[in-house]
Amino acid sequence: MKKQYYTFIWAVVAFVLLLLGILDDGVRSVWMKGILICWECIGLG
Amino acid sequence: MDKKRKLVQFFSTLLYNLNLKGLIDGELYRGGSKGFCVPGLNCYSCPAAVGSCPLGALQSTLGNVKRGVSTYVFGILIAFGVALGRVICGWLCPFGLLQELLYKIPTPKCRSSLKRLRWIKYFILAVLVCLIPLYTAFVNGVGFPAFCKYICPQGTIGGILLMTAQEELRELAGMNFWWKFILLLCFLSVSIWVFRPFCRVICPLGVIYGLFNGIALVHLEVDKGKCTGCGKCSAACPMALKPVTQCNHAECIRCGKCVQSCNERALHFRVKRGDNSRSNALQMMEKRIQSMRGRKE
Repeated sequence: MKKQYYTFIWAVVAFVLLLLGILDDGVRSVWMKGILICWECIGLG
Repeated sequence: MDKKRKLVQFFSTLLYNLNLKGLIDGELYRGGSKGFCVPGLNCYSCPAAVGSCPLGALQSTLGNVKRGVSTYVFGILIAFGVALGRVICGWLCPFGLLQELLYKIPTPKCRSSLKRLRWIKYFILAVLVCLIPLYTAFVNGVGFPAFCKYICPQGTIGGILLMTAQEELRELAGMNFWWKFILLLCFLSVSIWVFRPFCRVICPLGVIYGLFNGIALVHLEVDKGKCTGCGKCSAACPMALKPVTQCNHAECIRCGKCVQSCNERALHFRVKRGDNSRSNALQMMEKRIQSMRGRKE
């Protein structure tokens, strides 16, 4: 029962954060949009 | 089950890297799906990637904290964790698949639990993934992704693929690239003798999903009424766990080898959280009645 409760709480938290994140698309990084290469990631930065 | 898992692993690797054209022309994919984080470790600077790496996205979000925090990355990490936990590591991670394929090379294997080294990945998550991007964001204005820069082997593979496609990039390979290249070779060569060394010792994404293993919707359950304590599941576990007592341990990657090894079918995957203590109690009673009948006869 306790575990079900935690699962539910975390699912609600995830849903709220996701919803807020999707609405606020502007702060998503240029790498996530594929505009720039993340030079650090590939070891060239 | 192992064949099914391998198929899912291959399919998810292909799905994350559907831009096969990028492997030839060296151009990054810029479509809408790039804004979506895939569940496994898969560098968004790999020319074939059609999605973003959740760990890279987390670092870039923390590194841009001064401009505002995007809750999207936190939300998607928690959502993946709550839904699947470390099923993602066992079934949906391309680098996990690569390590497992290398482990298939027939050599003597090291079956150590690596218990003392497990804590390194918690340190990496705290310092390289969270603290350094946050600190550099406050000091320099823009944080830098320390884990991606110094450790991530998946990014190095992306870099090698990009350099293969674009010759001019090869001149840019400096000390940092060669450091990451040697590190990649180390992870891959150790994988021949040790089962998934990167996942067990280094991967911070596994730490995040491991925190949710105990409450994730997809989880393992032990039917104690059926368990005979033969220990076959412990012997089969590649992560050196004891599935009967540690079925929802943060290190369990849900590979299902314990489920497969159990002749009594005492271990099984479940999708919904629920209380099975009543059915366990009933089965134990049935077992006791049967043994009493046996004694009378």
